[in-house]
Amino acid sequence: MKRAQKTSRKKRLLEFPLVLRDKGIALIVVLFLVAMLGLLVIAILTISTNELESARKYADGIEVRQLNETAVSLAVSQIRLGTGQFDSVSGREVWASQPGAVRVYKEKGDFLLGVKLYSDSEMTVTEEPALASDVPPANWTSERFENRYVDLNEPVVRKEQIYFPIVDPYAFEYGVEGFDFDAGAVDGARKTGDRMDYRLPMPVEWLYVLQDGELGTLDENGKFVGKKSATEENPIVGRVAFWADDESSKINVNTASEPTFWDTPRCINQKDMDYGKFQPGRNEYQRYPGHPATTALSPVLFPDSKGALTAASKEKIYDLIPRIGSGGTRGGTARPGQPITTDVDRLFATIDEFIFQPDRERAELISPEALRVAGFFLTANSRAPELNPLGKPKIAMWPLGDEPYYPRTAFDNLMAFCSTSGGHLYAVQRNDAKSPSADWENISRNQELYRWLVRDLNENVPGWGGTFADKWEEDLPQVALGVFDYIRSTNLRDMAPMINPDGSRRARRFYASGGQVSPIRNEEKLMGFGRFFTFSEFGLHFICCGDGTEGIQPEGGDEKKLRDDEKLIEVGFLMEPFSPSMGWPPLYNDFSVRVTGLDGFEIEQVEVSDGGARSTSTESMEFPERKTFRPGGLSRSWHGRAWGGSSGIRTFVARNNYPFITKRLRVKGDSIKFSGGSVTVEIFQGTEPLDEKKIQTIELEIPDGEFPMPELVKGGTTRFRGTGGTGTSFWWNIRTRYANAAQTPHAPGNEYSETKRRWPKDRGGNSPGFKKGGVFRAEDVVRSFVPWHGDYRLVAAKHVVPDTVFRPLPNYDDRTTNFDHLFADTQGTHLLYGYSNEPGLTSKDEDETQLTPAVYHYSRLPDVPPGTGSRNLYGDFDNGVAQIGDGGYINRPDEGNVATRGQYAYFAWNYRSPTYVNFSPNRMIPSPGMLGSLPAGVLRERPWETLLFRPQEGHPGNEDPPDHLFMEYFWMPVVEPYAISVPFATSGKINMNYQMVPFTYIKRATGLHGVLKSEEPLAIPNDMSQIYKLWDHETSDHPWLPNQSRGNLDPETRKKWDDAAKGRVAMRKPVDPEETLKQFEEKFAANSLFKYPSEICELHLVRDEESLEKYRDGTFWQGHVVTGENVKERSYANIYPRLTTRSSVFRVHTRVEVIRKGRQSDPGQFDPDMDTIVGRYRGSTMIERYVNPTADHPDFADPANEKEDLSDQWQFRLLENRRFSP
Amino acid sequence: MRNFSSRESGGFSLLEVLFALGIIATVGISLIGLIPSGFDTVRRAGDLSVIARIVQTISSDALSSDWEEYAEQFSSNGTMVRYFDDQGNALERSGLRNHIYTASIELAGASTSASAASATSLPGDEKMRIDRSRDLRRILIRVTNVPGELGGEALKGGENSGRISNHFVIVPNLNPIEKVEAP
Repeated sequence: MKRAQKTSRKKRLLEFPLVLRDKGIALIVVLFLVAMLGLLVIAILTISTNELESARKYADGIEVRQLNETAVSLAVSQIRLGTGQFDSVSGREVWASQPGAVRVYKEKGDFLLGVKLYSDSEMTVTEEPALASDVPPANWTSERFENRYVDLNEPVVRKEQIYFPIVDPYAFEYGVEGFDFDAGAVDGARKTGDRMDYRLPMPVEWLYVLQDGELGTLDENGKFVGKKSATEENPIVGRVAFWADDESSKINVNTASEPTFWDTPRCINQKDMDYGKFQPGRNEYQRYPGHPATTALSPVLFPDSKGALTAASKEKIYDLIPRIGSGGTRGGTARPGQPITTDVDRLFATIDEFIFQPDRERAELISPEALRVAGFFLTANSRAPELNPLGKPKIAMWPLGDEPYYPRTAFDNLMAFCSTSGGHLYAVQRNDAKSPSADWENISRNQELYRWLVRDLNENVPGWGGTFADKWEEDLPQVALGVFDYIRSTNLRDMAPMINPDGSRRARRFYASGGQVSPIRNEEKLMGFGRFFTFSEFGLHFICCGDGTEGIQPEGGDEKKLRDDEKLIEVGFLMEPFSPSMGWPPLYNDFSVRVTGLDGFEIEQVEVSDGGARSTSTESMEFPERKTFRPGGLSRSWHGRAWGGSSGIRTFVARNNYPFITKRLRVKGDSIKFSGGSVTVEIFQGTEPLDEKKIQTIELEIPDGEFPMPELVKGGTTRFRGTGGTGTSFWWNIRTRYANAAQTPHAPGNEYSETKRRWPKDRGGNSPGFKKGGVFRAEDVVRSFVPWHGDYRLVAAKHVVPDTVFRPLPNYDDRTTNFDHLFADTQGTHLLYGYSNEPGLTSKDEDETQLTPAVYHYSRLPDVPPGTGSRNLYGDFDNGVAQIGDGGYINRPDEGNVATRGQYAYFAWNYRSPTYVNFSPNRMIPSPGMLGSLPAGVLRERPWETLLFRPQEGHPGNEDPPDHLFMEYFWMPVVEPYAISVPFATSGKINMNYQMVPFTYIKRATGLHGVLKSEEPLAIPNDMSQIYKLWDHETSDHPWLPNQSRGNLDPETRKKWDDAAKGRVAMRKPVDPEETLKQFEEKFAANSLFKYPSEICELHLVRDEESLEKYRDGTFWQGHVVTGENVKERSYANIYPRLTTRSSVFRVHTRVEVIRKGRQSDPGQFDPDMDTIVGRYRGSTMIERYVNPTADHPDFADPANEKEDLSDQWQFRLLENRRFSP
Repeated sequence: MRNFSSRESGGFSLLEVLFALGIIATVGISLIGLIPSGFDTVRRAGDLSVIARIVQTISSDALSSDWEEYAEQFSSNGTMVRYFDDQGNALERSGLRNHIYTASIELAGASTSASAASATSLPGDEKMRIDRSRDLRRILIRVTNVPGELGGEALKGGENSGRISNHFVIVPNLNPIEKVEAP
């Protein structure tokens, strides 16, 4: 019962609701299920749609990136096209890059092809003007150009901030130097008003891409134009736009810093005196001439800071820049005590790292505005190729030890690394400075390089046409050997520690501790310069030993005694050593000279028979027939200096055994009737006249002549400045005179009627005048023979100097002129009496007699024969170092002198070897621009014509190919502070071709501003020509400077000197970039580019407050005639290595869009209403073109590989990919 | 009473059933009919992602390969076929159990005669007669999701040829090359 009740209750419980719900329940259930199903379906559909959408986005994202890669690929292809060699074009092409384009020129220089590095409907042009004129249409935003142009520099505005992908136009207001744009050139450009409204559109054409990758552009009707037409099956799927910037147009933050100019002191002015005083220390790269660290960052970071950057603020900049240290001379204001310790910061991998470096000090130093605009002007990755015009390696300007026989330093090893390709070294090696042949014969690589260079110079210079062989004719191998020897004779006293090939240290060995290097001689009997002495002058010195009343009398009693009309004379044969390798370190001579044939000289003599009968006959003067003489140290005398140049005769003859003296000769009458002859002078390295050590033979043909009769000296001399007096008889013996010639020389005194030319008395009250060491007295007769042209470089580089070179001076046969000589002293032309080329005084033709028409101080006359001015047509002479007079020198590299006596090293007389504190290869040699003083006409005997590395109208060096292109065959690798140079490339160079296509309305010459900022060219005004070389030895003596002189120096001269020394006369001035760059603008306006960086040598470096016009019409240099070519060319030598015309790194700015065509839209058109842009990408990719240095390149110096070059070895890599997503 | 109650509580009326069946037949089936389309969308999405990945693989392969060596992988008519699994991972050969996608890679212009203009040309190239065949390579990629060996058939224009996705990549030659042709 209970159970039944329970069951029924359960049933009821179960049934009751059913009872209540059974009507329509099925429907409800079904509806419920359907609803659930619906939800499920909706969920599935929603999820799947979302999935599809995100998959599309993903796919579009990938597609847009691939499209971006396409844009980069196109840019790479364009660069490849422009930088390769064209096998169907005869000859070798040369290319030059600029932001947005590469231009290719044929061998003869004609334009071949313009390759645009931006998207355009014509990606190449064959007419050069078509490049610069391809400016985007001003109304590029109009309907006509709709969908055809896109602004690559369109900003993104976000929260009161505006971000530009390429260039922020605020840079103009901020004042970045060298930057400007024409806001009226294209629609939308704006540089005034609210900063948020500044715009600088950079529109380029869209390239539309079909589904199969075919490319085209839209025509005026908006229709796709390409190789194929767009179809429904192959519609437009995207569009790309790009523009490649040239990274070498920007300043590299890894190599540049802030310069403090330094140069070898060249004349009296405050800056040069300070250069001697505060020489750059080791690791002070920012002061090494020509080093990339001398390129300034201030045009971007501190614009218009001219003069405002203090030494202290520069020090802060150095702290920011990797591997550049502070300290040293502290901006040229102190002596460096220790080498600068450079930091070991790693280099900036990208410019962003520089901009965003978390450095507090930098935050104080560099304004946020500077950083905001920096990206367009600074880079961390610029590099330029270092190949010669024929696409082969360049030869390094740094000599290397011939390992393992001669050790190398760490610097040398880096140089060797940079100069090696495929295991073949392209640098001069050396081992033996003494031998004129060992470094040639024993080092076969040197011969190979020389022959290769000569072969290359027989080829047309691509882009110019013409060969150096045609231009220099037989002088070509001479020039090539001259360069070889110039390099070999560089760095004679290397202060860096030497390392064995196994890495162990070894004792230092100087290549030439005495500074003397025997000129190399090859099998063609051509000779380099080495660093050696030749002779610039020979002479006959006649003195009277006795006459009928006084003096030395002949032996043999009264019969033989001189009668009133008779005289006893002695004659000395004088030789003046000269070295064109003037400068430091000291040149300590180690040579001997053998003279043959002097015995052929005869004069009319009086023969006295035993009975006293007189007969006259022409007899031998009894010079020795053949004698070898080894002079003592040429610098070891009062006023002796070891800097080369004209070394005077005093120290040469100052030996007890000077052999070239006649016996005493009895003569009579008023004149000497001289009969000359042939003489051979041979110069040998070392003490013995060994054939294998013979350096040079000079043939002389001494003509007959009739000279005045010397008079007997009738008085001695008083003591003066540390040297005792002499009695009268001292002067009657030529051997005595010569033996004492190292004493105090002649100090101009009363014998010069001009009061300004007299020296003051010394502290003891002793008067100047003829002194013990003076060799000549006014009663003597001197005749001399000099190279007819006065350019002693032509003599120095000849193994055999023919007898036509040395000729007598103009007054040789003048019986009224006692002195006709150019014997000088190392310290000046006034210390030997009778110097005979003083305009207006001893020589006529005032304007053309001296080296230049300037009025020189009598003590600093160039040692050249009268009439030199008429031959020195182009100003191809060198200014000596510091106070050293000007002449025909070869601009040898300055190895430094840290002597501090009298405070001013270089100017003071003494020398102290630089230590490791001052040593650096890059301080010594900035570039091949140093070669500019090598003569181009040694064999053709074309005097005063050297390699032309500066603008100079009318100079033969301008003939095609211009001389400056010769520089392109050499390079100086930059190995400090890190390997800025690698084989075939150097970082941090600035492209001269800053013209930006197609955006020619934007000017970015900032990089060149950075380069030019480092230079302070020297120009010596004509009114300083009397004092620019004056030092303490003029009227006074050490330690007084001319402005402090107690003597009777002309007050006007003293004032001028004081003005120069105190900086009141600006002889050095910074370069005015705007005025200088006018020449660049003219070049661009003429639709041309610079093909080689050496073309900088064709442009004037206009200095502050000067006008280009005056340089062009010649009036500027007419007002600065004493400025030597080495000084004029120095700035070019410093600038050239920091310039390029070919970039290896490009940043491709891209903008790409993936398009999905609407169903109804025309597949060949872009309709913004119907088509959808489903993917967008903006960014930039950096591309580098490089040669693999470790590849197995052939030996280009091998004649078998004559046709080989590196043009097919270039490859590309993508360095950095950056998306623009501010 | 029992009958009454059993009649009251038992079964649905015919009308009700018919009504329910009607709803199911109309709404439910059509809803169910949407499910495959949803799955199809999911599959399409999957295809899109995987194919994008495949294209990326092929393009990065082309970009990173040595220019010469890459070309050597192609048959004489300038094509190459590669196989991928459902995740877009490359397979060594066709016909494996997980072979889902098949890609045909074609060097544009390779099948045409050597004298033909380059496969990739930039605007103006034709006029200047610039040949970029040695420094720019256009690769046409066709990917099908027809699984297995049928994929190859589909790419040849077989039955399922409609399920093909077309792509392209343009690859620069980064290697040293000897000389470029002149205009």
